[in-house]
Amino acid sequence: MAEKVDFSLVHFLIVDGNPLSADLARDLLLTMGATTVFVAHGYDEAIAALKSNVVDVLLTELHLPPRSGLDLIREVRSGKTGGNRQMPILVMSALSAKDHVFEARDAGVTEFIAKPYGVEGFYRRMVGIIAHPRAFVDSDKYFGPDRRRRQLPYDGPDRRQ
Amino acid sequence: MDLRLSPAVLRRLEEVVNESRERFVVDLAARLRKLRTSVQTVLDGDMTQEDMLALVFDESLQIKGMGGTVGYNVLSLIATTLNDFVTGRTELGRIQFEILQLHIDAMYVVIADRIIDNGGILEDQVLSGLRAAVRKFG
Repeated sequence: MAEKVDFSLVHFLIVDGNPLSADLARDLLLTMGATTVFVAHGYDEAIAALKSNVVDVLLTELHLPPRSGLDLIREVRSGKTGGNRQMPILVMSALSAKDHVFEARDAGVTEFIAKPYGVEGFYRRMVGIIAHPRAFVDSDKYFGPDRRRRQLPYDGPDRRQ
Repeated sequence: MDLRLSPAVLRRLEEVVNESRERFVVDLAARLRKLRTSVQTVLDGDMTQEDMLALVFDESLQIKGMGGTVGYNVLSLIATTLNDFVTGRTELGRIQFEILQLHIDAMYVVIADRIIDNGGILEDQVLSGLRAAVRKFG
């Protein structure tokens, strides 16, 4: 029998300036079995929600004028929000050009969903980030999920003895 | 770990999306009105092109993101072309201004006729025309 994710145990925070978009994501999560879904419509509201609630998974839009979702991601990864620095962060954004994806990756996101999205993709990503947490890298220049996704054969010189 | 959706859960999730479709149409109508008003305000000389373009960027991004999610794929594609067209722009020439208006008009038609999914041949041709105009005058 296939293993299932129990979404009722996970506390979500959705950050999206578009109320309709935020409500849709919330309703999808509730239908998937989530019971605790916080919603914030801007950066400041999101920071307040992170500081006053236990949040296990953050879903954020990148376009959060006058701030950026990237600022929010960096705050979480730096530990300044007081929450879990390693929480899975899922970006859901219509700013889906390659540059935006790379910026989000380098800020420490776990997954990226380009809007518009389909419900199957949404479900798969949610299950994936909860059931398969990615290894974290903690270095001087980067703190976040391991950005390597592929194992490529290496045919250069071996510098390790 | 099974990442596949059961048909029952998929059906429930699609119902959630369908339920938000009518709300989206109401929201979209307000956004399109806002876009048309801003275009007219620029023509009346009461708004700078830069401010209007910032507004068009925001609104087209929202329409791009929500449209296809609730089934209005053509709308998302038009909004994507418009968003790409205005990205990084602070002013428009006469023809570029008309291209922007054509995008807004096209979105009005899509929503007035409730054209969901990918539309048909006509929608395909409209989209190709808008893309060609953007390529030529963008």
